[in-house]
Amino acid sequence: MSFGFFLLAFAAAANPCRASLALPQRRSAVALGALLAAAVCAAVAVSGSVVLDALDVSPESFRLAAGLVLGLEGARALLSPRPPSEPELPGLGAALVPVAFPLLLQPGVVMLALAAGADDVAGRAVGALCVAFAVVVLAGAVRVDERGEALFAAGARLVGALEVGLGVALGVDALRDV
Amino acid sequence: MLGAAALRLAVVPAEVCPPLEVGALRTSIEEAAGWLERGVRDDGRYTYGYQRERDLISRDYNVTRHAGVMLSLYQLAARTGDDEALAAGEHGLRFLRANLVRRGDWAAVAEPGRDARVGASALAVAALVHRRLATGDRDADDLTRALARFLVAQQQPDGSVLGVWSGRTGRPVPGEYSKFGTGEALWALALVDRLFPGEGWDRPALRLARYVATRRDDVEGYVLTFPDHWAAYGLAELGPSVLGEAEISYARRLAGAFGLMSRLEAQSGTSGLRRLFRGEPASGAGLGTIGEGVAALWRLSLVDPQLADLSGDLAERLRCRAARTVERQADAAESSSWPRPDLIRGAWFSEDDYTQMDDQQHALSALLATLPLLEGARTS
Repeated sequence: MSFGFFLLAFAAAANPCRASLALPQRRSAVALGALLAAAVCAAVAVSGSVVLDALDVSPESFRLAAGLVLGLEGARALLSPRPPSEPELPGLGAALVPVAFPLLLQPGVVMLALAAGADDVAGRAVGALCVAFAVVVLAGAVRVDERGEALFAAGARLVGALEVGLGVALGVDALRDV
Repeated sequence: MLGAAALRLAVVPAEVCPPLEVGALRTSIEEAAGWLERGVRDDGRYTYGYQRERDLISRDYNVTRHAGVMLSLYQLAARTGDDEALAAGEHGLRFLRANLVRRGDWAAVAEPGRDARVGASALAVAALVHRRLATGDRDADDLTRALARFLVAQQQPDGSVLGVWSGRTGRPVPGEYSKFGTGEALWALALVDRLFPGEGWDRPALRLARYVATRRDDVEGYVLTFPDHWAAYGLAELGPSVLGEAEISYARRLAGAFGLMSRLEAQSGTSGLRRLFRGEPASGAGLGTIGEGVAALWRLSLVDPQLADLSGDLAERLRCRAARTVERQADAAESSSWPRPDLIRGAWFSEDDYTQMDDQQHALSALLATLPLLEGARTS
């Protein structure tokens, strides 16, 4: 899996357009939450091989599962472009809930990080992930009116469609792999 | 959490690959060969099948499977010098010689009054080549060539091989292909070219290899790459010096198909959720054919730099496949509780308590092909 693929896949899984519709107003909380989520994903990626070994799952089979999750997640974004409103922890606690979890640490993001670790490309994946999360932070910083929110929702659907496509590509690649 | 649990159960259950020592592998090979050897009958046939629950020996027979069993026995004899396997192969050869149809300069395997099928003759060629490797005897060379000429006579201008020759019309049956016969013919022609270099067998072999690699799935109606272990044998036998980009690309697709089948099989089980989500566990023939395909491509990956990146994964799949095959084999202890232990011991039974000669044949060939991997691991 190339850096370009990871970049697209992490960006699609984090879905900046969709996430920005539910991110808190405080930019510091959003930035801190992105850092937290990136750290968690880096840890997950680094331990990918160990985790999959412990689960007795081959990297190829896990990639198939990751593709499936991306596909389902993309379909969810297509059908429901606005995330449900989550209760916020007070102050900088919002960095943890809802920014890091559940908005950024989407199942697809975590699965991709694990798959990358199992394929010994954790560094590449973490680099791409940081760029994708930076895009989410930037999208969250944009202040929009009602019309802008409708545009973001439309964008969320488009990114969801991209995520479906990337999930299929990942799954097919896993099916054809040894 | 619910989603993760569903994913674990339905998509990525654990792939179970038990440990396997070379000693256990050798024992399993001997036991499988023993089942085939004990099944030799006076007329040169082998025991075809056995249903242990009803204690019923099958009355069916199939000359293609007969040739396949001979092949496995001669493979064992060629690799290990096993005299009993050689003797059992020789008994089978008597039956084969009595079931030939000859036209012009070719001969084909066919029971009296039946059409000749490419697969039976191709496997007979493969068996005879391994017999020659085992014994050095040249007494069957003419028969080997005559059978190979039948394969060439069935070949069409596009490289394909028609699966059936009609005894009624005295011609190949147009448009009728054989599911496995095409790959079997490819391997047979590659083997004959290796045994008799310079006689021109390479040309039909390479034409057939190109057809299999580029057009077979479309022409013969396979939506996805047909996981043809015989074609894998054929590519490995032809070797890297003659394989072009199309054949290498096909070998990669085949490796992917066998890799997926191998992983799915490793996720299966005889009971519980594994049984529910992965269905009935593979038969001995199923386990064996995947192993044979993986083993052939693994051998090719060791000598072809264009496939070298696959060798580690293929070796891992092959080891797992062999370990699971050995684990599923009926051993002496298990067989003692049945009325006819000799028809149980060394065999692979499906869920309906049935075993057939090709279960032992394919498993034996696959395990034999795994020996170099485990022996290499032990010495390295």
